[in-house]
Amino acid sequence: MSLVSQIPRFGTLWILCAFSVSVVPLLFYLPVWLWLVAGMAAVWRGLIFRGLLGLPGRWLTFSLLAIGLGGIVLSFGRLYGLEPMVSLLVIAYALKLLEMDSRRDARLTVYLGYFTAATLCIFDQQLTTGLLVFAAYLVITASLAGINQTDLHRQYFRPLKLAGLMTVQAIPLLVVLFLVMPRLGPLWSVPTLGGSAVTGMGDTLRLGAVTDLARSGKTAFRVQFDGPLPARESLYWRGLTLSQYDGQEWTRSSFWSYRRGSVYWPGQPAPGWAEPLVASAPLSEYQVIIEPTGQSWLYALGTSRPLSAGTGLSPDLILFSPRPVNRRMGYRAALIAEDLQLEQSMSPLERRVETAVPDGFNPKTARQVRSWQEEGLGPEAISERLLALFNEAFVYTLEPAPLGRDAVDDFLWQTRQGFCEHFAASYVYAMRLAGVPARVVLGYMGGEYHDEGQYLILRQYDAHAWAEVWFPDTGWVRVDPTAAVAPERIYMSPMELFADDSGFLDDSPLLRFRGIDWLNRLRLELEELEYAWGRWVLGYDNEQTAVLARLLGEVKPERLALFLLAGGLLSFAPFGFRYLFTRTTPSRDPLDEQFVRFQRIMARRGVDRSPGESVTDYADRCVAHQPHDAAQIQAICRTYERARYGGDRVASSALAPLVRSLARRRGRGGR
Amino acid sequence: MKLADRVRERYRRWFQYWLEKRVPEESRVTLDRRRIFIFPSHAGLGYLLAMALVWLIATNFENNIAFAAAALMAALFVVAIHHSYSNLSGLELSIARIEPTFAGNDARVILRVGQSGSSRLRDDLLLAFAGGRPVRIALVDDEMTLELFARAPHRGYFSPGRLTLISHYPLGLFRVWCHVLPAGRGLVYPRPVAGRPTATPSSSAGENPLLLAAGIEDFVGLSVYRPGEPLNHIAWKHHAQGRGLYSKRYGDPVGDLHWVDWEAFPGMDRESRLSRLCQWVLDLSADDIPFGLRIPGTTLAPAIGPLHRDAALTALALFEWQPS
Repeated sequence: MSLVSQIPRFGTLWILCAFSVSVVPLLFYLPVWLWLVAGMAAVWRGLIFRGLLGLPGRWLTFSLLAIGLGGIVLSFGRLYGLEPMVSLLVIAYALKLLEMDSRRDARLTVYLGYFTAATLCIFDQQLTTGLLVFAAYLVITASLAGINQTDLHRQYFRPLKLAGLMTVQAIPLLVVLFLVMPRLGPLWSVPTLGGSAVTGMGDTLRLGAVTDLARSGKTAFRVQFDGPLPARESLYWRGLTLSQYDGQEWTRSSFWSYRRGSVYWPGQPAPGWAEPLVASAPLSEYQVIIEPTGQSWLYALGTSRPLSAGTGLSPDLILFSPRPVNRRMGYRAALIAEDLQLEQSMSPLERRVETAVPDGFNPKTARQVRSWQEEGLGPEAISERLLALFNEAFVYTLEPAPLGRDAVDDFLWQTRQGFCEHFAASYVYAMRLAGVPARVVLGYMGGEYHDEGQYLILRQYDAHAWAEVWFPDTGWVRVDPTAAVAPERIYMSPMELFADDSGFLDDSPLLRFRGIDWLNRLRLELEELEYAWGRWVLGYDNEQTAVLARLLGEVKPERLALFLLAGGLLSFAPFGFRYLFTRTTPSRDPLDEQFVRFQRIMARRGVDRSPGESVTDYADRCVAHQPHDAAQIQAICRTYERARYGGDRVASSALAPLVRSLARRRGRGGR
Repeated sequence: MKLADRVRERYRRWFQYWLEKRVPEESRVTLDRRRIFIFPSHAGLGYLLAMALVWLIATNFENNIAFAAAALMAALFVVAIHHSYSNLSGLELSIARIEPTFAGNDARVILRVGQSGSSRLRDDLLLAFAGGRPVRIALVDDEMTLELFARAPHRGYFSPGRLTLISHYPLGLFRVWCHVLPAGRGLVYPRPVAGRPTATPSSSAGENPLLLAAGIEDFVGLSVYRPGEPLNHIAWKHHAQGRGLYSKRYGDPVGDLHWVDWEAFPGMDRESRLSRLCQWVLDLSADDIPFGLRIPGTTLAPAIGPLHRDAALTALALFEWQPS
């Protein structure tokens, strides 16, 4: 049996709220015109709600959908991919909101809301995002409650209260489920974020690109050391080596692409080149929690060996994950040495890769290097000449002048101002011209140490580029040309260097106010919280086994089942209380309770109220029996009647003191 | 009949039998865990599907916030069971009264819905008697009454049968229902069928031959005009003479109709006779004509008024009635 199922009006209102809460945070990651789509749908629905507009017809809905699809293809050039798919989801959600007509439609809209709100956490995984998703779920649940209740009572916030109560009751079970739920790993490959959504380093270097990062205060990764913290000037977090140059862009050479057999995986037999690494005792161990980068390489200090399963080490000492990092992820590594410890020998092929320069670029630099060689300078001397040149006449700035086709020539002999990547790339180029194997390294430098949480935080503005050069007697060594021109970059954080630059830290306003003590403390507290969130919630996969083992003693199916049951029972606890402790006698209205008390007093004095006797009659009888309390009795009865039948709220609060004062008076006469 | 239908029919009958055995008749039914059934609704299955999709996001993107979201959905699902159950638990249902009706019509059942113990809002209650129209209510206070309709196919005493109460509160994820049998007895009068008496029983003839039922054939007399009477019945002559506004009454000579007599319809079976007698009683009552009732075993002296009419109808309803 059923009735014609219309959507209750409050339900519609709450669905509108749920739509806004779940879609608005997403819109920041999607094309701008989707704001228009979502806003239009919400306003239109509002007009339908007020009865000013009708529902869109089937054809209109379909044409709107087609327009939306066209828009997505125009914006992205494809339909497959994360952003296009989420855009499509938002459009479908908006259209469903618009055309819903029955309770069934409304339910579907609500379910779409649950799904849409969950997609937000693909784009961002900060604590605030978690809270946002949680809030969205609360409102969506309120809308689900709203469409399932009758409109008989005008209480706008009843659905939200109910949803809040249910959510609170759900928390114990939620926690247990979260702890126990098996993490299977991806079932199939999913589209990843397009580049624009993630702030971070790309896998190529074009002069001028790192500068953008240098203005961002977003966190790149955090590190916790088991042992003492290495000195700041040796905190070079290597990300990627770039060995291939086409005249415009430095890219990773296919020579270093992760070939089977040449990669070292923890827990597996080490390939020949990695055996010394595995054999040597580490200086210390550290844990890195990295923000999503959308790239597969990871960051590690100097010569490090990965300890976490699923983290590989390539022969050029680059840590990487087999899948792109699309969520906050944690890994452990052992620090073997702060400098580079690579094989001294170099194969002819490797040598060719590391010294290649494209023909027909930068003739002036080529001439200069040739003249140095003609002077009889060796590789080390040429390197010193270059660094001395940088030190003499170059300016380190966040806003370097643009460079032309012969970028290195322009930089070295004309503009002479640049950022770390300019120095690194030019240095490597010049060294290669001299026949010395050299490559650019992308990574981060330094970091900010948090005393309380005992961890190091690396931000996007710590991004850095430096060089690695191979000399015959020392092998690969790290050379940082930036240190030659601006040594303070190595000893100070960019925060201190660039604080006055315009555009610096536009995305992290709190960082600007380090000078204000309490604000700085607040910022550190927040970062502490964010770190805990990252470690225990986002990185829970890494901790799951340990946590479960700690909680259950031993992870066995029956213990897991008992644990789940306990969570379930905890969620039911409030109900259990209700069943156990509710009085079976019906609770009385407070007004009646007072009057019953009055009747008891009078009964003790010998006047029982007979069934069916009206309050006025009873009062008359009481007055006749107890004339000395007449005023009190009449006041009580009048007040009761005013409150009971006249709806007088003031009177209802006045009753209790009146009865109390009567009880204090000693009854005279009667029994 | 196809095999599937036969199986379904067999199942339906078995279920009916099972319910009858299980659902006892009570004057006041209090809902508790023995009576309340609970099962995920279609909407609940849809919700689980949505949850599975969120879980897929979580797994494929290895995203722990999405895992938490899926876990929240699952936990809410479990919590909803309790809310659904406690929405019905402790409700008290009883039949306040059943208004008489005619066989084949729906009987109006006044149902009292109350709650004992701590009073709380009970929302989205859908109530219906088997075969009747459902009514959706919310119980805001301690008690309320509502009208339901139950099919009354046969004359005699009648009980409205099984009452089904369904709720989807609070999230629509679960269908909570119970079948109860609140005790209540109503009267069902015979189905009225129009028909003129085909015989004039000798025993009652001539007692008051002048009585005429309201009709159109013969002029009977004048009465004061009441607004709404046909204009062509107005005695214009009287009016023209300034004697006031009267309307002419007409009547049909129908013999001694003040006796509603079993013998007036010879040769008919019992139910057909009762149906005609019923209509006859109704007609006479509508016209304010005194009448008596004479059926085998019962005789009501001629009288007038709604109480008399109801007594006559009751006598007809219960004539040779046996509980089925």
